[in-house]
Formats: sequence, C-alpha cells, structure tokens
Amino acid sequence: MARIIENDQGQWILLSGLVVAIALVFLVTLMNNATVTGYHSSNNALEFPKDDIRDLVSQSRDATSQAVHIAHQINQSSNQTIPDITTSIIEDFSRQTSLLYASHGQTVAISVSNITTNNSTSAFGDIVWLNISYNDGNTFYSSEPEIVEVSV
Amino acid sequence: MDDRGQVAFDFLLGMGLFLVAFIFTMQFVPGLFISDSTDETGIAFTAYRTATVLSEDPGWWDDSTKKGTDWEDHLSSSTRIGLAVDTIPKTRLTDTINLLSMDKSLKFMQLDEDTVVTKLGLYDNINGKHIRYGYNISINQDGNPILLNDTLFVRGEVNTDSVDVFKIERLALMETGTFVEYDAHSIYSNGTADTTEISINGSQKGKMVIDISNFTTTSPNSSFENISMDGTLLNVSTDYVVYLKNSSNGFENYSSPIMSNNTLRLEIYPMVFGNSGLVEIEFDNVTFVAGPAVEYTASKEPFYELAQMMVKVWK
Amino acid sequence: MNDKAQLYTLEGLMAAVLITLTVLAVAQSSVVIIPQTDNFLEVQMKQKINDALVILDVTPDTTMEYNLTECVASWNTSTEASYGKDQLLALDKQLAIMLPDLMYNVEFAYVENSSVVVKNTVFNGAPTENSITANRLVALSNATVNSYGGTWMIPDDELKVIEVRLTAWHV
Repeated sequence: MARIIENDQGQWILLSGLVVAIALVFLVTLMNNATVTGYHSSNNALEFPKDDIRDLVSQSRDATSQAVHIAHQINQSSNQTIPDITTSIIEDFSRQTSLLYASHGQTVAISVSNITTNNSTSAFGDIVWLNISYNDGNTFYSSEPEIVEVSV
Repeated sequence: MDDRGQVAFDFLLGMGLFLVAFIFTMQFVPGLFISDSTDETGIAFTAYRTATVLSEDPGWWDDSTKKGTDWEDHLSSSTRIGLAVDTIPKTRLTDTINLLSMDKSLKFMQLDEDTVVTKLGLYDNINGKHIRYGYNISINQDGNPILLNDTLFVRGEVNTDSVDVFKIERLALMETGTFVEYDAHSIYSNGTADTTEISINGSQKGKMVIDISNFTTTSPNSSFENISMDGTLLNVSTDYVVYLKNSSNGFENYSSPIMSNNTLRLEIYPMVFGNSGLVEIEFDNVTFVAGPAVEYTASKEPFYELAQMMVKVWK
Repeated sequence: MNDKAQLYTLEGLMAAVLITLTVLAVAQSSVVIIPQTDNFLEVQMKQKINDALVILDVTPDTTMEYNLTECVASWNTSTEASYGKDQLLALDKQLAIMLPDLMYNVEFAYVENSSVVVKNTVFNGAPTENSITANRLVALSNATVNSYGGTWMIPDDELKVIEVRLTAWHV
C-alpha cells in the first residue's frame, strides 16, 4: 500500500485517461450522427406535401366547373358575359383559398388566364385556363396552365 | 525503486482485465447505433413507397409507339404497377386516388414473383446483386383478405423470424363488383305479379348488387321471399345477402316488413353462369307491373367497398 | 518480485466491472431507438387520416350514405360542438368506422369578412402533443346547400370554401 502512495509518476494513469476521453468523444459523435440521420430521412416523407398539392389542384378543377355552371345560370338573367362571371367567381375562390392555406403556412395563388366558351353543342363545352401555384417554404409547385374542360 | 525492469504480476492482471472490458465496450456500443438507424429507415420507406404506388398510382406501360395506364393489358411493356382506377383514361390525370380497380388487382395476383419484386422495388441493391425483401401485401375487410371474384387478395409470405417488420396501412375503396339501382315501377314481372325478373347478359365479374326502391305494397307486412337463378333457388347467406334501408341510418340486415319507401339491397356473391342468366326475385304482398325482364348490364356501375390495404416488408 | 498482495488487480477488476455495468445499463434503457421510429409512426398516421378524408370525399353514394360535401353542407352554422355534444353525428359515425383505433376532432375553417373563422364540429377530447392534422377543401354553392338542407348563407354568384381539418391522435 505504501508503495502505491509513494509512486507519484502517474504516466499510465494519464495515458489511459486520455485514451478513455478520446474514445468517449468518438462514441458521442457517432450517437449524434445516428439520431440526426434518422430524423432527416424519415422527415422527408412528412415534408413533401403531396396530399396538399393534389387536393389543391383537384379542388380548383372542381370549383372551376361549379363556377362555369353558375355563370351559365346567371348569364340567362343578367347582361354580364360568361367569362366575366366565371373569372370573378374564381377570383373569390382564390382569395378564400389563399387565406385558408396561409393560416397553416402555405402560399397559394389561383388565377384565370383565358376562357373560351363554346356556343355550339360540341363535346367540349367551355375551356378554362388556370394558373395554380403553391409554395410552402420547402417545395414550390406551379401548374401554368391547368386546362379545365367543363361540359355544360 | 525496483530497477529490474519487470512489472508486478498482478498489475498486469488488473490492467489486462481492464483493457479487455474497455475494448469490448468500444466494439459493442457502435453496433447498437448502426443496426438501428440505417437499415430500419430504408425498409420503412420501401413499405411506404410500395403502399403509395399501389393505392394511388394507376400504373403505366410504355412501348416505343404507345403508352397508357392500362398496364394490365400490356404486361410485357409495363413500367409501373399500380392498382388505382384511372377515372379519365384519355387524359393522364388521376385526381381520385384510393379507388382500386378489380381488373388491375386480379392481374396483380396473377403476376409472378420476379415481376412483383422488380417492378415494385422490394429489394436491396448490394454490390449489384438484388437481395429480396420479405413482403406481404393484402387488402383486408374486418381483418380477413377480401374476396375478389374468386381470389383472396393476399400475396407474399408470413414472417416467421423475429426480425423487425414494417407495416403500413392505407384505406381504400375496392371495386368488388357491379351495381344497378332500380325503381320498382320500372322492373317488370313476367308471370306471377309478386315476382320480378332481371336478365343478365353474360357472366359478371365480382358481386352483383341490386337495389330496389319505391315498392308497390299491397299490405302492411310485405316481405322478401327468395331469389332463383335460372330456376335453381339460391341459398341465403352462402349465395347472397339481403339488406334493408328503412330510415336514414343506412343499410341494416334485412327484417320484414318492407315499406314502400324503403330500399332493398341484394348482394349476390360472384358466380359463374353461361351466356346469360335470369334472376327471379320473389316477394310476398308486393306487386309488379307485367312486362319483359330488364337487362342488368344496360345500366350497371362499379360497386366499391371500404377496405384496408396492408403492406408488410421485412429484411 | 514483490510477493505481498497488491491492489492493482482489484483496481483493474473494479474498473472492468464498472465499465461493463454502465454500458449494459445504458443499452437496456432503450433510449437509442426512439427518434427514428417515432417519425415513421407520424407518417403512417398522417397518411391514414388523409386517406379517410379523401375516401369521404370521393365515395359514390352506393358505398356510404353521406359524403363529405353533404356533411359539410348540412351543418347548422350556428352551433358549435363541445365535449359530449357533436354537431355532425353522421360524420362522426363514418369516421369511427374508418379509423377505429384513433381519437379525432373535426373543425371547419372558413373565411368571413377577410378573416379565418374556425369552428369545432366533432369534439372527442383535447388532442395530445403528437397529434396530426389533415386538411381537405370543400367548395359549396347555394344550390348545393339548399339541396342538403343546410343553413349556410351563400350569395347566388359566389362559392364558399370550407376547409375540413381532421386532427387525430392515438388513444
């Protein structure tokens, strides 16, 4: 026992202390790396808003077709033209949709770039050209033009 | 100080023991992290991707001259396999996801293992060699695989090892047959006034669902009696099921009486008959106008039922 | 060589035992696995509730009594749900069939006078921390509302956009 207390050179202890410290640092780095990789790779699926974009496009098409039908009805009793009424309904739809999407952090813009109405009884009916764009900070989507054919 | 240059024996023993424990720890701890992170997320995403492609994508085929989404008719040049219905085939848009088509599902069940594994990506690429994952794809209703025409929709093995299994469940509307809705005033009886006849031109794939509403009842306890197909009486609960909707609660199991504003639903399970069949539905205290049998295929639509798609993948 | 008992062996033994016990204690407490699998559970749940909303929206009449447009159109705009009092029983029942092991709330968000108004329509409890929300838009016109007997006030030449927010969490 006395020999241990007298022995104050301490090379071995210092060396092994250094080795243990370096090994601990290495292990902690490895553990952090693993956590970060797991987080990022599984976040990918949550981050890409495929359902939001698909929902936006399909609801815009549906709303456009409703708007065209309403426009045809109103046109029979007022002197506004069908393209004007349709454009104003879709603008109002775009305003409400942008506000709703903005409340959970995404910017959306829907606008009409062209409408052709078809007076003859052909298979097509009216055709509306929409510009849809979506941005949530990570993903930017735009469909210009989105062509919607409505048969009245 | 001992100057012979030897180390005390039990110093060696103690140091050796310590070094053994230390090196073991160094080697064990990284193993904990590696196997839990990289492999698991890889397989989890294969399961997610497979479930997404099957339930949302109608599939695609492409040979050098033409392309389209009806890969079930062009199997040799198919590039993607998906089960979703393509609602407007001439455009290449699929806005309605989660509607699964019976033709594509039946074709999927008939594919061989190689095609399924390659086209759906259920393998791991290690140095150029494909290592197959174990998988199990099924569409269930109430926990059991759904019966489509004549096949149960389940493919793949059952996992017996104690490896981690990754599963994803998606909700879908599965096309299980055809459906026609009749007003009781526009179907006719050919003979006895309380029996109506419907003729079916050719064998139908899947269930046949017939809805009849707006009955002409002759007494307050009208009821449904039986169905015969080409003269043979069908067996209730093995060949068909009957439901009645008598309020806004939806369809419930049939119980008499039938009021004139109720809707009766007959679900006839898939059966094979020759070129045409004649279905005779007999009631009690219900009358039909005399006339020829109406044709089932003239106004049939696809019939969808809620089901859960379960995809399980393991290494 | 000194043959009196030394302390070195004991030290080495103690050090070895200490290190091994620590490693085993850390490994058993399964702190390691949580971050990755938690995220995957969220992905699964989000996909499932989105599926539920999509199916409610596209289902033909023959499969389900009420589709999403009908449920939204027939809501009485002056009522709001609180615990125990649902305002849309039909929607609640259908969601219960499709999502049997989750608890959920449904809210409607719509625009009134250039600001977003959120109303509870199905309320089954307060959501926990790891709840996930899925959204779906429904556009209503006056004709649709009248045919389903609702009380939305929509001018004849406009469409009203309502966002259905389904928040779900594990029990």
